[in-house]
Amino acid sequence: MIEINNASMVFAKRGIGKSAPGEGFKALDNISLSIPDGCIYGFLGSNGAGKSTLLRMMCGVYRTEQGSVKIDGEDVFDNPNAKAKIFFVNDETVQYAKFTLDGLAKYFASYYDSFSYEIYNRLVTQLQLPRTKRMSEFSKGMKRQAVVIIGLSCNTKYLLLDEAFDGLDPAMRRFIKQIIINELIERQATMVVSSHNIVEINELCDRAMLVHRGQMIFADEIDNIKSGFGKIQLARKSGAVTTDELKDAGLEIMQYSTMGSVSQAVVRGSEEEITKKMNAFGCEISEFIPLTLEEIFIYELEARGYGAEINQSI
Amino acid sequence: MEQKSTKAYKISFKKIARAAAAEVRVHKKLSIITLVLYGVAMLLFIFDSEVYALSDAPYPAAFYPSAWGVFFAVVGVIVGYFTVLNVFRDMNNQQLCDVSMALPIKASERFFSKVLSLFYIQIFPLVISTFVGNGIAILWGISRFGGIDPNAAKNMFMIVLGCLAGSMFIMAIAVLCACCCGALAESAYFSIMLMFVLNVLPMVFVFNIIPVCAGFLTNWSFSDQNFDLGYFGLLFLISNYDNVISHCLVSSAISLAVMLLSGFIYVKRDARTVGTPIASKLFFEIIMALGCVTVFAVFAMSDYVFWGILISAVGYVIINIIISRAKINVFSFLKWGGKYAATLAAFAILLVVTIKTGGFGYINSRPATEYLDRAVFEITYFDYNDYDPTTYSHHREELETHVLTAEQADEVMSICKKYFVNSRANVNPFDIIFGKSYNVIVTAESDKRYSSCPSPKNQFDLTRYDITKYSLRYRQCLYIPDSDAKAMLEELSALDYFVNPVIQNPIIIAPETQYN
Repeated sequence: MIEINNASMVFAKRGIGKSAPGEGFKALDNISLSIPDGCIYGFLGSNGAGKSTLLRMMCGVYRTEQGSVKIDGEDVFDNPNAKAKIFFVNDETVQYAKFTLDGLAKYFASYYDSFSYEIYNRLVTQLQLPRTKRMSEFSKGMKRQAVVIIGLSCNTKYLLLDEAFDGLDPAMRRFIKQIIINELIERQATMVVSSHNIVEINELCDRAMLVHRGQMIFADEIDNIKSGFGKIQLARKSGAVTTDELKDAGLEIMQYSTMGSVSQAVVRGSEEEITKKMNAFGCEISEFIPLTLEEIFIYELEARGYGAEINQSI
Repeated sequence: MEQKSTKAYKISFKKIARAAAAEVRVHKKLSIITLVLYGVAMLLFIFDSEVYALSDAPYPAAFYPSAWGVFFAVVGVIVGYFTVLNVFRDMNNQQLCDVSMALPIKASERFFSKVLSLFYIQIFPLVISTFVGNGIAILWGISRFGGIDPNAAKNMFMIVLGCLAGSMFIMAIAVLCACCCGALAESAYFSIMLMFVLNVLPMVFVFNIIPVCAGFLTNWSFSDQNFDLGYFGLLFLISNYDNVISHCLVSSAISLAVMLLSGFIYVKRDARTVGTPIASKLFFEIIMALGCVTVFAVFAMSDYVFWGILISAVGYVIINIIISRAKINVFSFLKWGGKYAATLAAFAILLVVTIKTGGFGYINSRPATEYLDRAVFEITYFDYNDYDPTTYSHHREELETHVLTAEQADEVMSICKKYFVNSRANVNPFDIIFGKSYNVIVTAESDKRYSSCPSPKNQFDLTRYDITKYSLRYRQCLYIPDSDAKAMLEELSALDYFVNPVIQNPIIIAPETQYN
């Protein structure tokens, strides 16, 4: 299990050492999260929200100065035992350019005792990648495939992928995802994946977390997340239901709009709870529409002024 | 708890060796280039070294190692600088840092594996090629001529250890800078700056500033120096022949220590400092201050002091602009100006102390009396109160002795030293910093020959006259207050063996005295 407790990350202005209070840029602010074994966890967030920072903290690239990040109960930073259970694939592949695929395998096999040439050979054959060609000559998609193969061959308990499917065509995307899922299921491993592609997270993950400006907005099972939001449409002859009425009824509104006597709102809560409250308005038509993860993402960020800021800057 | 802390410091040598081998594979191209250079150097040492019979020498054959072999070995050493920049690339490249820091290996093990990989790529091939190449040439000479110059082995070790010391120094500084900088460009040019500073600053300070402050002529003929600087950096190159090997060993040991101490900075860093030009602010401030001091030192004690201040100020500001990530505004310039002024002030204080103490006591140095036997003294005084370049020669007073006995020479020396040392407290140091010339020159020459001196290299006053002849020669030129200079002349004039060389009579000092 990966446990993150009140982890914060400040990028200091002054280089090595802790920042003085108020100095530097706070990339993560008191994040707490539990990632149970065997799940596929999705990290969602706006650009610069702190997803990659959190992933880097989880694999020990960043030192945790406030809070803790533990892998199976052990601190991860500068701890080879904990790190041996993790493989991190970041969002770039340029660092592997001078390797051949076999060379890269040999490189990681020098560090990971768990590296499996059986898995490696099987996956390379399956994906038909050239073994002795320099990776600088690979296409972007091939590089991605190669790194995923290496990640899976390291046979670690946790696989962290930072926007790892970028650059893959839809068919290859599906194929790679299937390979990863099969491998992970077989060995009961855990995968954490960050992506802007919410549909992908929705399909792939059983849990997800939304982070914005370093702060966690929610983290739960995807079904629970989805069941915690809904869109309601209310039509009343005597006039549209106002926000005050909705608030008085105890609904937590994220977005509201009206058109004539029809009002529409995105609210938090379970379907049962929301339906019960909206029935009290005595509307001629009242309808509850479940939200997709993508809609939840957009409404949550809009509620925090994200879209508005961008519109203003345009 | 105690168990945990012990575990934290435990490192796995197996992991280090395995990781080092992986590093070497990653830097295969540089390894091959290095091997090619050292391979060529070895072949040249074997086939291009000169070993030939001598008819009139006490040994059967002379040995001269191949100069081209040395050249290729030196090129290999320089390649070591680029090897370090590549091996420590994860300290300034976010993508590589993500890979290396996420690996299941401790930071200390990762650091040691990188250092070991440098030894695999650079040091082992260097030592093997220079040793084997020269060794084979010497063995061939012995087998062919039945013997060889007894210094052949020493010459071979000078090449082996000289290249080793040079390579270790370059790599140590490059490792230190890679650990302290978060960008490749800064790692590269700060290494070069630091190498320059570490070699030039001690030389300028010891061979120029201290002698000038003590009134001795600067002597850039390093082999005749009293100061032995060749313990670090590339300064072993100016050591005298007898000391080169020991200096190279000490220098290599210091470089290794610097390299390993850099590990403390390496393990302290995480990926947050990657990409920032300077990871250690303290390191940056020290290097910048040392860089400025080196430029000041080069130009100090001359008429070009302001050029030194200007050049270092421009360099200081430009480097600060390059590394600055925050917005540059007028306060940035004020801050830099303040720091620069503080560095300048610190250097000025150091110079004042050096002047006031007469080069930290170097002013007291004097030739041993036994070597001043039958010395000829000449004391020249320039009255700077009336200084005017056009009438300069008209305000000069000279005293000269006959050839003195050892006791008389010692007496003259003692009087001069008394005034020199005491007057240092009264002199305005800035006159000297800004290159004001001396007003008293004391010269003593002895006809003691080279062969009379048991250990001539240790006599600071030994000067080569011509190719075959040496003479003990002492010369001290000082700027001291005119009142002290006149008092000194009066005291010297009271000695009956002094004469005025111009009028050939005992001299009478009077303020209005002027000679044509």
